[in-house]
Order: sequence, then structure tokens, then C-alpha cells
Amino acid sequence: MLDSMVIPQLLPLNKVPLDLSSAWANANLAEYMTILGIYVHALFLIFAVGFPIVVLTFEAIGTIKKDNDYFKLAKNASKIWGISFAAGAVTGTLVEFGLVVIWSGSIALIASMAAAPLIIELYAFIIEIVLIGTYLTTFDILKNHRIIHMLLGFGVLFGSNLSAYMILAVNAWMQVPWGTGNFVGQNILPWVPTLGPDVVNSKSLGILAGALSNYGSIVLASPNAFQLLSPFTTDPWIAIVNPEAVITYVHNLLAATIDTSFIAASYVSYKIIKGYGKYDYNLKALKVTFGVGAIASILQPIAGDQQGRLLYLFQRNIFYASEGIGPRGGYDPILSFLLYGNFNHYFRGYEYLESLPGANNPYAQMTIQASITYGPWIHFFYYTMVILGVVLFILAVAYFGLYVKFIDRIIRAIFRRNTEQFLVYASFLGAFSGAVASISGWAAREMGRHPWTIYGLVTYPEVVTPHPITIWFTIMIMLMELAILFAGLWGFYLIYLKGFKKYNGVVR
Amino acid sequence: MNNLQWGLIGIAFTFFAHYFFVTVVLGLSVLIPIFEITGRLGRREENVEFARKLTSYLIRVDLFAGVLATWLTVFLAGYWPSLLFTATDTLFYPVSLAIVGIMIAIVSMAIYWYTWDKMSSRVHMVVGIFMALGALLVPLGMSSIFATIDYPYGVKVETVSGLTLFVPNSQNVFMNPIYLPLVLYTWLISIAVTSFIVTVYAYNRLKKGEFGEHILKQSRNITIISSLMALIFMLWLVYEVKSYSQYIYTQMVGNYSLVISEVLAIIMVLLSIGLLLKNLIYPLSIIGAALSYFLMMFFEIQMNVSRYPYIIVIGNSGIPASEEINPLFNIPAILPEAAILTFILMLITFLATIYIAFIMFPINKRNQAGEIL
Repeated sequence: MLDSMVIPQLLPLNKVPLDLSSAWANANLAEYMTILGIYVHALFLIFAVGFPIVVLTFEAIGTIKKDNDYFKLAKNASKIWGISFAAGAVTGTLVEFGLVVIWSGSIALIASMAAAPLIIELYAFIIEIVLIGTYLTTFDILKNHRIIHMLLGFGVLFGSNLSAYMILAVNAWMQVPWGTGNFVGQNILPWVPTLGPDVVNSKSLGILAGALSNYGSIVLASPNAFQLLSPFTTDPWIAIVNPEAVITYVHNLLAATIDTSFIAASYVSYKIIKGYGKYDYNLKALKVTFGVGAIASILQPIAGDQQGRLLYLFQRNIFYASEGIGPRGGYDPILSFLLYGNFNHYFRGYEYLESLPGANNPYAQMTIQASITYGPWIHFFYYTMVILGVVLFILAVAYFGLYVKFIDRIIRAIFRRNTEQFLVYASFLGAFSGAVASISGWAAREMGRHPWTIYGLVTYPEVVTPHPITIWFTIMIMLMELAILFAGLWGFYLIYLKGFKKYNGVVR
Repeated sequence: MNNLQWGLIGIAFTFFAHYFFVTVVLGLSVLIPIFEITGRLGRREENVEFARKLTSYLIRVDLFAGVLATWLTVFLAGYWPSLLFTATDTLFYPVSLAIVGIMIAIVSMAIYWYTWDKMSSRVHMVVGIFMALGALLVPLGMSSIFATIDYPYGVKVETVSGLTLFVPNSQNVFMNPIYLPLVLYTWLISIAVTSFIVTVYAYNRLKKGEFGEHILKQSRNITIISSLMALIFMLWLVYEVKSYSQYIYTQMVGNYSLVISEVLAIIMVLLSIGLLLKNLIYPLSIIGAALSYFLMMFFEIQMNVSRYPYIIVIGNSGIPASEEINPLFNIPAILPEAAILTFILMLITFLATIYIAFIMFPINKRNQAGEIL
């Protein structure tokens, strides 16, 4: 379909046709460094996105209770921003350069549907960095003006979350190219419904998708090629209002909050177990960090449910892979109840997708094949996330044993410990579950999109650099990414673990 | 205003704001290890302490400079997509080198700062050397972009039935005749500007009795050497521009910006030599810092503005900016307008924070780190 739409207009470019085998080899090698780079980046950026909630909770409680311990906790917790932002900035720069240098075809995305979110992200980035510096610098200076100081903290929260929203909006557009109307469904993947209003010029979209698939990213070396794509859209803001972006953001904000608050809780628990610091001080920290994580863990299933519904609606093949529904389909009473309100809906599977009119084009076939190939992994990662989400939910309910006698009694009966003692050990499970759930969730999401960079429009080898990527280049970049990871972790160690002074005893 | 106007304003604003800060980052990244190494090898503790003080400034300025680097990339991709693609394709290795430099510089900078007194002095000095090398690698890579748009060595233009493709040829882009003098000039002018500033700082600390005269002399000597070398490399750069990028040369001669730059560079050298006069060292270092900064920005702005209306200069002609601008749709003006407004507001906040952190409440007056673990 795409070939017939595009080749007549770009025939002259047959001098530089895309060498598919070398493009795939390039893309496959590039993928390793991208995956590692993004995960390393994510480790640091979650402290910018989710952790301000913990810091501000400490400071707010301190202000209300006039308890200096909470101010100390807020100050101590906020120190992590220095390291996490520095490491986040360097890995972010790496990811961004990786995008324009290694995945150079994505420049077309930045110049089109991602222009508005990425330019807004620039404001967010500078607001975040400047206000982090101001927040840390003025912690003691503004001790008599806590509200003003907290407003600076809200500024950090606003900046980091605006940044997160805009970046996730770009990722969401790559998952669900909102504003392309019927283009994907009618031309490439027949199971895809209408993707929002028809505000992207379908002729331009066809030329871009076809040019990239025929010639690779080298076509962007021609300014004239961009002229052919004009006018591209009538609504440059559309990626920001993508429903997938909204849900993805909420899901990720909650995940970042869960991860960072449980990591902080496990750090405090480690201090309690080792007897470092005052017990009462540590207990206050544990109650707040675990509490924030618990609330986020209770809200997360709602966001997760919405995310699953969008997957079912817009990316049916990935939904089947995630849920482990086979080629011929099958029954799943829980899914059926969640989606249709009854227990006997039949999910039809890949064979049904293949039977749809228009599904015989090579892209649709390649998409289904990728879902089948990666299916077991996607299913594994997806269910790892779901199961660990359930674990987090149980831990969250257990937290309220601190305040509800009935829950406390259950905990005592099962674990022979009171809730306070239970939380000390449960926080490690919370940190582990949160981290693994996040890693798995993103693995399922990104793996599910194979072979597409932009679902239904542009595949991986079409946007990779035309420059050959060697194994040595990949190894060198990955070693650097690991060096950044360890340098950042070392920074955390220097700030939070080195120099503990033993205070008294063990857990009471 | 259309994409072309905003594209030019946005990229100029972001680039010059970025350049304003990265100069100090590069200069400090080189000067700090020099002070530390000479201090440790010569058993001068004050040198080490001085290096530590300078590092606290470096950390803050670098974060701001880093943010602006991201701005620059997004503006380039948003407004000049084809140009950016050509740069990353043709200059894949130099740009990768710059990325490696950024990674080495920031990681080693963080380690350098956080491990002061926490690791052996020998290892700390090695980290400092890595920090300097990383910082020097960045212009080593990025200068290739400017050398290429001044003289597109390493790029071939293929016109095939109406489509113009800018693709790499077999030439080694590092052999572009404009590239080497541009790199050397960028390194040395950054060190010269920063060393003038450091001399002012050293003088102030000397008057407060915090450091001895040795620091001042060392910083003065670096200023003299770097200023002189910056002048030499600037003249070499101008010579190569005259030979290979005639349009820029003609423009700069026509509006007298070239002669003004050369005169300013000579004055800068004379001011640096004037630092040898003990009684005049303070006023001359202040004037030198201001003048060298002005020279650096003026020359850079003129080199770039003189390219207009072309975005890539080829001899006496070039490729007009209007051909490379993003034609896909009009990027809403509110986006760059809000960007510039946010930048100005945050710059004011940043400067106020620097003032609070270093002048109103210096670190030694605030709570000691680590007391609340």
C-alpha cells in the first residue's frame, strides 16, 4: 500500500535505496545501547518526578506539627536531587543525542508532531534545575518562611512533572499516533480504530512513511524532501492531548512515587535494623515514606486498568501478546468482566486480526509476526508487573495496620510481628516490587511496539542512522552508560550510607 | 513571525546563551586541575583549597550550561531538521566524540566534587585530568559543525531529479582547514576569559587574606599565555576563513567586525601583559575579563551573523537559510516566546540563587553537610 502511494513521487531517490539487512543490523545494535541508556536515565529521573512528593510531605508535616525532625528529613531527602539531577541530566543528554545521532530519522518526528511537547519540555527542564538549586540553597535561609520554601518545592514538582508529561506525550504518540484519523487503520493495520481527529495530512504521512521505508533516514538529508511533506498538520498541539499520554503520565507518576518512596522507606528500614540514628526519627521517616508509597500503590490499579483499556482499544495485537491470548483466541473471565461486564466474552486472537480485510500487507503481517515472536516475553513482563502490583497493593493495605486494629491483628496473626515491625521488612519488598514492576512494565510496552518506532507508521530500521554502527562502538557507549550508573550510585552511597553513626540497638 | 524568523532568533538566542556559560565551564575545567596538580606536587595546600572553591562555582554553572545544550538540540531539530540530520550524518564521529566528552566531563566533575578529601590525592588528580579532557573533547567535536557550515568539507551535494541530498563524501571531516584553528581558538579564548575572571577572584581572596600571592601569579601567568595563544589562533582562523569561506570574510571586512575583533584581541593581550604591573593588576584584570568576554561573544556572533542569508556558506555563495528551515507547518509563536520568557525569569532566579549561595550566605555559614544523617 505504502509503496504504491509513495514511490511515484520519490522515484529519483532510487540511487540510495534502504539496505534492509544492514539497516536491521544497525537498528539491532543501536537498540542495546538505547535500552540501557534509557533505563539508567529512568533510575535517576524517577527521583525528580516522584520524590518531590515525599520531600514536600515531610516539609508540610513539619510545618503543621512544628516538628524539626520533619524539616531535617525533608532536607536530607532533597539532597538526592543534586546527584539524581546531575546524573539524570547527563543521561538525558545522552538519550537525546542518541535520538538525533543514532536514531537520526526521529528528527522528522521532533520537527513535526513532537515539536510542541519538546519545546514545552525545555521550559520545564530549566524551571526544574533552577528551582532545585534554589530549594536546596534556601532550606535554612527560609526557615522562618516555610510556605515560601514549600512553594519552591512545588515549583520543582511542577517542572519535573511538566517535563515528564511532555516526554511521555511524545512516547505516547509513538504508541498511539493521535490525530492521524483513519490513516493507520485504513492503510496498514486494519484492526486499529480511528486515532482521534484527522489533523495530520494523510498525503504527507504517506510520503513520509513510504520514503522512510524505501530509503531509510537518509531521505532527511534533503531539504526538498521536507518541502514534499508540507503542510504536515493543522494542529501541532495534538500530541499533548492524546488520551494515551494522559493515562501514561498518571501511571508513570504513580510508579515513580511508589519506586522512590519505597526505596526511601527501605533505606530508613536499613538504618533501623542496623541501629543507625535515633529510632523515633527513623520511624517518622518510615511512616511517611511507606505511607506515600502505600497511597500511590492503592491508586495505581486504577491507572493500570485505564492503560490496559487503551491497549485493548488501540493496539489489539499487543493486548493479545500481553494477556497471552493465542492465535485462535480464547476465554478469559476476568478480562471479560473488566472490559465487558460479563464473564463469557470470547477474545478472537491473531488469526482474526490476520483475517481482517487489508491485513495481507507486509506491515500487518510483520506486526502480527512480531507479536507472536515476542509474545512470551511481553506476557512475562506484563504479568510480572501485574503480580508485583498486587503485592504492592497488599503492602499498601498492611500499612494501615498502623491505624486500624483489625489489620494489625491480621498482620500479627500471620507474621507474629506488629505492623511497625512488619513495615520495616516489608519496605524492602516494596522497593524490589516497585522497581521490577516499573522495569517490566516499560519492557512490555516497548517490546510490544516492535517492529514499529511509530505504531503503524515507521519501523525501527527506517529511522536508524545510515552510518554503520559497529559492535565496538556499541560496547564503548554501553560501558560509558554503566560508568554513569555506577558514578550516580556511588554518589548516593557517599551522601546516604557513608558515615553512619551507630546510635542504639536494633528494631524494637 | 514565521518559522524562518523564529528559527534564526531561537537558535541565535539559545546558542549565545549556551556559549556564554560553556566558556566558563571549559575554562574552569582546565584551570581547576592545573591549580590542584601544581598545589599537590609543589606541596602548596592553598592551591588545592583554591581549586576546591572554584569547583563549587563550576558545578552550578555547568548545570545551567547543560540545560541550554538540550535547548539547542531541540531548537535545531524543531526548526532546522534537515540541517541537523546532515550534521549528525556527515559529522557522525566528531559529534559522537563530543557526546563522549560530555559524558566524561559531567561524570568526572561530579566525582571530582563529591570525593574531595574522600579519595587518595593521586586518584583525585587523575579524575581532574579526565574532567579537563572531557571538557576539551566537547568543542573538539562540536567545532566540526561550525567548520562544516563555513566550509562544507566532507559533504557532497547530490541533486537527483529535483531532490538535493547533502551526504558524506570520502573526505575526512577532521581535515577541514577551518576546523583545527577553530578548535584551538575556542579552547584558548575560553581559558583566557576564565583566567582573567579567576585573576579577579584570586585578587579579592588575597585582599581578604584567604590565599597568598602565589595563586595570583599563577593565574596571571595562565592569562598571559592563553591570551597570546588565543590571538595567534584567531589570526590563523581568520586566514583560513579568508581562503575557504570568502563570503564570511568579505562580510566581516565590510562591516569592520573583523578589524574590531583583531584590535580587541590585541588589547586583550596587552591587558594580560599589563597584569605584570603589581599595582594595576586588579583594574586591568577586571577590564581584561570584561573585554575578553566581549571579544569572544562579539567575534562568535559576527562569524555566525555574517553567514546570513546563507545557513551553509560555499565560497562566495551558499545555501540560503530559507531552504533549510522546517517547512512542515508554522510552529506556534507562543512556543519560542514562552521559551525566551521562561529563560529570562529562570536566569534571574538562578543569578539570585548564586548571589544568596555565595555572597549573602556562603556555604561556611550554613549548616554543615551530613549533620542530619
